[in-house]
Amino acid sequence: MTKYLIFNNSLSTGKRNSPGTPEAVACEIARAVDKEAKGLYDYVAYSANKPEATLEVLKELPVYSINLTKRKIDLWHKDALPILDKILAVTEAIENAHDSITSAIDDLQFDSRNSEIFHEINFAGEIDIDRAFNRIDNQSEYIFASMVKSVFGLEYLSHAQGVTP
Amino acid sequence: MTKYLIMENPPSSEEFNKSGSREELACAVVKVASLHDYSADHYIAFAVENPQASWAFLKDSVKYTVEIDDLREEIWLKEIEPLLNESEKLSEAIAQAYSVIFDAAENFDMACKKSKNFQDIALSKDMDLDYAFENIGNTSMTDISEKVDEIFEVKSY
Repeated sequence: MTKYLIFNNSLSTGKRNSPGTPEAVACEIARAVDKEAKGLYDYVAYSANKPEATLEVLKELPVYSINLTKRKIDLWHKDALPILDKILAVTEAIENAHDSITSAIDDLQFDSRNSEIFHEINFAGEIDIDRAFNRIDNQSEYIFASMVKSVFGLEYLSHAQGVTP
Repeated sequence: MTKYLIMENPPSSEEFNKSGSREELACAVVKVASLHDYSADHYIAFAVENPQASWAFLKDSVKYTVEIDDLREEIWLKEIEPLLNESEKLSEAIAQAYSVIFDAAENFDMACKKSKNFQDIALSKDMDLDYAFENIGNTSMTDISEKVDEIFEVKSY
């Protein structure tokens, strides 16, 4: 088992974990748990017993720590990632649905505004699309984040300021 | 201005409204005004001066009458038809949106069921999709229907 320290990062630092490495998996897990961190470069991880981790700690304290084994890494790839993909698909479906209905309402409104007969009718008035979409209770991301944190033992280090503390 | 009589066109009938004719327009007007989802051939129309219209009167089979002249035909083609198309597109967008979100949620649920660690998560039953979509009713067709009824002086019998 290896302990990894996960630090805040940004694109401008030039630091990045190679895809497929345990360090990259540690960052993927942190991103899945953090509700705001979505960028590939939001985190960078180092094995706790490597000098890079020590050097990084001197500059900034880590946000998370996680113990990873090969079994946990396999579990992430085979069990958690497919679900994360589906969560993203649900979120995307909701966003696309909102956009397509809004666009259809706009087209209808445009035609009616240019009509001599129908220009006084507010066709969009009865359709409260934002209210409707706010009612779609998509808790999948939150529940999944909470379970990932528990299953993979991601530890938030309370002294640190994460993307979402 | 010409009055058109509209009656039901039995499936066995070999009569149809000529494509692009005012009789066909009269039936389209009735379909919108009555908010029925009948096929285009469900009704057949005759101008009031047509001898078949007299027969329809005698047989008491007239369901609707509508008034059509050049101006009303132009209104139909330039204003009502494009708006009907947009209204249908909106209804399709709403139906498609519901279906796409529901399918994505079901795919998520299936992935969770197959999982070792995330079996307890389920989304499609808990996301209140039906409740949310109750607020996205497309009432534009009703508004258009009321105007069509008024403009074409649709009378039902």
